[in-house]
Amino acid sequence: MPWLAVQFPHLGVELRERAQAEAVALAMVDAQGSAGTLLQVNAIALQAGLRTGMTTARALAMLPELQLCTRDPDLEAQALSHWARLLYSLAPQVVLLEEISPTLAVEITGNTRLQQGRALLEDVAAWAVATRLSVSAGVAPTPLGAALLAQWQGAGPGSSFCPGAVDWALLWPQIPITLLPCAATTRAALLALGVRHCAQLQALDRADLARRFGPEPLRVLDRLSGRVSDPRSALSFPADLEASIPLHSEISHWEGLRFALHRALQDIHLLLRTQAQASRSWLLQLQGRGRQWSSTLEVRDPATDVEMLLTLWQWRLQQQPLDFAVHTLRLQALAPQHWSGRQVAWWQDGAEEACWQLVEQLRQRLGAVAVHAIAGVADHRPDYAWQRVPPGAGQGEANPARPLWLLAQARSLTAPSLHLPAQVERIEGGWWDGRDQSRDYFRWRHPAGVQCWVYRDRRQARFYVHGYFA
Amino acid sequence: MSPSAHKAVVNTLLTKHPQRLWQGLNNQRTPGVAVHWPELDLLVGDWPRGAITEVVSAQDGIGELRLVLPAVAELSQREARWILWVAPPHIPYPAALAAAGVDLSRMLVLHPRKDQDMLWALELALRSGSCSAVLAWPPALQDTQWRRLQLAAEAGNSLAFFFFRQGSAATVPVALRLELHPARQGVDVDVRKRRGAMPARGMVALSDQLALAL
Repeated sequence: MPWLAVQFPHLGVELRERAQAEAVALAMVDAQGSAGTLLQVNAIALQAGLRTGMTTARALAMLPELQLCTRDPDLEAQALSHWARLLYSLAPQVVLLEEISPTLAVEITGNTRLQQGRALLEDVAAWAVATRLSVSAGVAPTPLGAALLAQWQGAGPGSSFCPGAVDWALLWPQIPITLLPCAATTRAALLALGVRHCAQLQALDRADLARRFGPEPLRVLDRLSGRVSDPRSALSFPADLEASIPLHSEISHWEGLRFALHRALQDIHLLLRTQAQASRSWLLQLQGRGRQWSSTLEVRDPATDVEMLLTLWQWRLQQQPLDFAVHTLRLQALAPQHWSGRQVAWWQDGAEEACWQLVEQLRQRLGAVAVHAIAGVADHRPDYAWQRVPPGAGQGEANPARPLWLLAQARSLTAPSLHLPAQVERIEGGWWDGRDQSRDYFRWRHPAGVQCWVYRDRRQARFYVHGYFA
Repeated sequence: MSPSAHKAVVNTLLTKHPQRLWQGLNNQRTPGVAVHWPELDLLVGDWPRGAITEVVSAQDGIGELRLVLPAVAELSQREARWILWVAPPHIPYPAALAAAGVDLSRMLVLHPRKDQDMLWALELALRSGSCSAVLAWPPALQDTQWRRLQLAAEAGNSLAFFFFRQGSAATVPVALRLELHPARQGVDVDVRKRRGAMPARGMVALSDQLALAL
């Protein structure tokens, strides 16, 4: 039963780094102040010569602009839970290896892609790029073995992929003692004895070993080799799809939020894709000190891509300027639905989608009410014979006796030369809804040259202009 | 250089740079849309595409819509793009539009609240190429705004009619400017500006029946 383990060697600094727009040298330290030591450094800091294990004071002396951060367990748990969802698309059991933190492992026995060699590892590499985290992955018959292989990566190419039990029996004895998840004192004592590899540890007398170091090294060794089973409970995660990104400085303008929102959209988008889902409504919450702003965005097409969503959010946010400083951005995909892609016709050129994208953009900035189509309604009263409908739903019966312009409010007309012509169109009705009308409609040319549609209200005996034959 | 050599050089230039050199009426970058009114055809030729046509009439209802609707109706039936109405002064009445041959499912009406939003929407719509025709009733525009919209119209290749109560300055870069005056049997069209042609004036008889033979 092969396992795939995914390890995040620079999780702490990378989580901090990926929420920032500009590239800076970053290091994670174990304690505040200059007494601490560096636990993780990012690529820029590594180039500048900083290494893990250095004291903070020395690192700052080498690189004064170095930014320091401490471990944020909540944020790491959230990132691991995000990755767990991704891994759940491969197989039904994902576990968190607590002894080699932060590492996730998934049991991939039933996965059909396992037979395709390293295709699974390529999937993992693609996710790593999409989430902007560096990962190392390993495949071995035991979860602990897979994790150690991911961490080791030292015995040449191909060594991190070892699904077969026969190969594994040859490979695991080569794993160095320094990688074993035991107490540091145990490892040091074993090294002092001259034990470098697991093979040498295995060769020692088990009873002696247990008497001297306790049961721990033997238990680790047995779980690593697969001699005893290694039952672990599956990792669970909250069911709703959301990304929460703490901003490292408080931001009160849209440009600053854009980067974090992009990150959150990409994360959720990737999750939805791996679960063959898509969402048409999104909830954004911006949290400040004692203030909160939230807004929902509805899109027509569930396949709307990240860039387009970002543009739509941009217009939404620019309409309502922020009046407080934001420290956390939370994005949630509401009501995700099953989505396995769109069937595209052979000659389709995307013009139809472009048309709907325009409507979507207009709606986000102008508001849904301000963007509409018109449709005819089966009613003989002209005021009620039309209505506003959503774009694309316009339809109606043709009637050449109607004017092109209808006035929203009929205008009272007092022209001395006006008299009722011989032929009129009498429109009566509306007793059923209380808006009763009795009118004689006719065409009339205004002395100024305008072709008007005029009616005489038969009850008031007054004339009104109701439209123009424009 | 002999006269024949001059002619050869000019011809090469004309074939190599058909869009850069002024060639009078032949300088249509893209074919326009037929106007469907015989008298108007004599005055303006085709409606220019990818450019703005300015229609000035002091009053609503003297025939300004009937003048442009045949072309708009043709586009609505021929192309799967929007017919966009931006801030119309009255309600475009569906029964009459359908009678004029306009496909109502292609109609899109915008009512922006602010002038700035209207300009933004116009620019977006003209540039997107998702509208076959844009009919707009914008506020008075400044030179820079005219230029931006003109550039957007060139990018989107749509038919654009801007309706005004008052004419704007003569320097505005529109492709065609018409001034309409009421006439007994139709509308009096004064072509104030037209690319590659002289101003002209004439009466266009507008029949009440707008039915199109499409």
